[in-house]
Amino acid sequence: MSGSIAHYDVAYIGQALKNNELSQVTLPASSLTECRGEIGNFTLSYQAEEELDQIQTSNIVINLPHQEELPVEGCLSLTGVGEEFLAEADGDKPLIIIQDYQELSAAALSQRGLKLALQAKSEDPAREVYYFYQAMRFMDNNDELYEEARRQEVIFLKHDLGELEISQDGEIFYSREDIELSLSGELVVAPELKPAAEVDRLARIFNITRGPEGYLQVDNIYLQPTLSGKRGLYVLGGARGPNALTYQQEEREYTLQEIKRNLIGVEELDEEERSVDDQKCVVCYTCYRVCPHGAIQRDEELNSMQIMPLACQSCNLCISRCPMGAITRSGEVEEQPQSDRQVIICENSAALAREKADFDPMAGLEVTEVPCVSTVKKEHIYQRLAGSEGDLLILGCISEACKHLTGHDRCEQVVSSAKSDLEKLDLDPERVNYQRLSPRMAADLSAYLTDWKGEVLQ
Amino acid sequence: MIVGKLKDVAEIKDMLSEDLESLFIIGCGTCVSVSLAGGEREAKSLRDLLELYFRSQGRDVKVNTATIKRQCDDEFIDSEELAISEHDVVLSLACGVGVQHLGIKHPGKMILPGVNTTFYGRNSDVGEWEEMCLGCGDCILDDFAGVCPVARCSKSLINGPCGGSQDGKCEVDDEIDCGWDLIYNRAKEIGQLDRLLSYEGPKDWSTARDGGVRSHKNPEFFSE
Repeated sequence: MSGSIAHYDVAYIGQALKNNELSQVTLPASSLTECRGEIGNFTLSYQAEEELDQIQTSNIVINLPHQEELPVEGCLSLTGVGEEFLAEADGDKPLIIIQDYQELSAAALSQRGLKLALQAKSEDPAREVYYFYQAMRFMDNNDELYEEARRQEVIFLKHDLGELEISQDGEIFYSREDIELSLSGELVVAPELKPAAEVDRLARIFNITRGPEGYLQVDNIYLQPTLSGKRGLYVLGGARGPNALTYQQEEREYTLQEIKRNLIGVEELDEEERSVDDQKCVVCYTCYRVCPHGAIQRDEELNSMQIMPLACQSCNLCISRCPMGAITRSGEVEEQPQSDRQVIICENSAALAREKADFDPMAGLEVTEVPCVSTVKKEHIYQRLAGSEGDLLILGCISEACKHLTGHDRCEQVVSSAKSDLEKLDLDPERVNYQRLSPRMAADLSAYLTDWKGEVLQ
Repeated sequence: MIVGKLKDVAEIKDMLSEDLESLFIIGCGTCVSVSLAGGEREAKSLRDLLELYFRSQGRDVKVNTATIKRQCDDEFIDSEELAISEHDVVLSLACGVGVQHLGIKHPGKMILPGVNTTFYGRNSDVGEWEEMCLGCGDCILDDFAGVCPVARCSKSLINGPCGGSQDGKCEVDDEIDCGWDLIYNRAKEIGQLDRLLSYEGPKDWSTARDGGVRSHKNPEFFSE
């Protein structure tokens, strides 16, 4: 890269976080066209006025607001009403605050609703204030606000699905047990929160895994609070998830601390080196597409794929899925297990559960520990079955505890395909088993292994 | 790109004779590797699976594998000439072109297909491909807003949709997008709806399969 490209500590996509110590740049999400490189040295290309421009940055923060959808047209949004709203209010009309109308609202919206109710009472104690909710969600001092609101005679009415209806002209119909109520007044409703605009494009540009609701962070214990699957890339607000409004301050502080720590120096996560043979690589992009950590890019000079060492988190998924066997790792050894009871375990789940068990549940088994079960290729499975008359058990992770996000699913796809092929050749598919565990499931691991050993011995 | 799909392993097994002694599986390192059907990964896992099968049958069959860059070019095949000669049967994981090219180069050898050549398509998602082109030999994409009515309308209609188009889906299978819905929407988007109003005469299919087996020469390589 040319030395003339400006380098920043952090690039914000969306809104910047307040900080005076870091050099920073802010880019609108819509301007971004490409991200290359890895933590410490990302290069971002973006549309600047009429031409493409580039900056370099050590870290990236995507901080975009949620998109909001009001469940009923024409009403006011809880996030959109300011102080002037109450100052200009018609005290003869009741104030009606509704959360959880169609889907549960975030705790931060409960807080806004409770504060609004209290402010209304403070402006005009005689004004009727109704608060409809399904589940009051607590954060910070929400419980105190709730108690205070009750004391101030805010009328709280709990509703379940179908018990509350808002008509098109803003009238409320409430029916629960022996209460039948129809109301009209100034209606303020908690909006439904949706992923920020542009997250589709950003997921593609940064090549990161998205959660089922479309946010840029998947539900996973390794990605708390603002980590994405890609090192050096942090997601906040409407980029992160539906609950990102709850602990905003803490999440901002955490993110800034992480960025400062990264600037001191970032190490590779694994001593083993993974490399792509540029003579074998057919640039099919399979490795790029399956990498859960956005750690692969095309080497433009060699015209082959390239694994970025600081970004790589060592799951080996790219190796097992490369159609040309073009990716290797330095410490790879050809194993020829011979035992009748072979187990391949993930070092992040079953291996930890094994350590926590009172006795070794894997005693007597031939155990191979792998960084992620997505390391397993179909050929490994067949070779192991050919090397003995026994069975093979693969223990991966439950979805939320898979350090490599999609690794567990990718392994299950391979095992399922191998079992199907075995069956087609009248070979016993039950010789291969796949099970998911979390690191906390020591008891489940022991019980499962006892059953499995029993079946295998039969 | 030519897209392929690895044949069902039971079908591959049934192609192999009972007295087979050695099998050479050749992967192809271009189109079918990219479409994850017949590259080195598939060749090696198929080798290991078949070895497991032969062993379960008490048969001693030697199975070897190699993957070359392209089976449709002589120069790449030459490197495997010796290995091919040393095996009873070759199972090619190339598209139908590669399988036949191997047969032309090795007239005395049994060359079996391990892949079904499915279509010319694009990668639409990880591990997913969609047909885009039929290879009709006379491209008319310019008249149809860049969406091919020949390949992407199930009936290859060139004067508008049939009556079976519903909610943007094709009556042949509601998983298939109606090609004419795609043509209309894209033409609208790029301001070319008026071009769809002109009547298209019958398509000349002689450049497609109807004209018989096709071949062509690049004149820059031939003297008159």
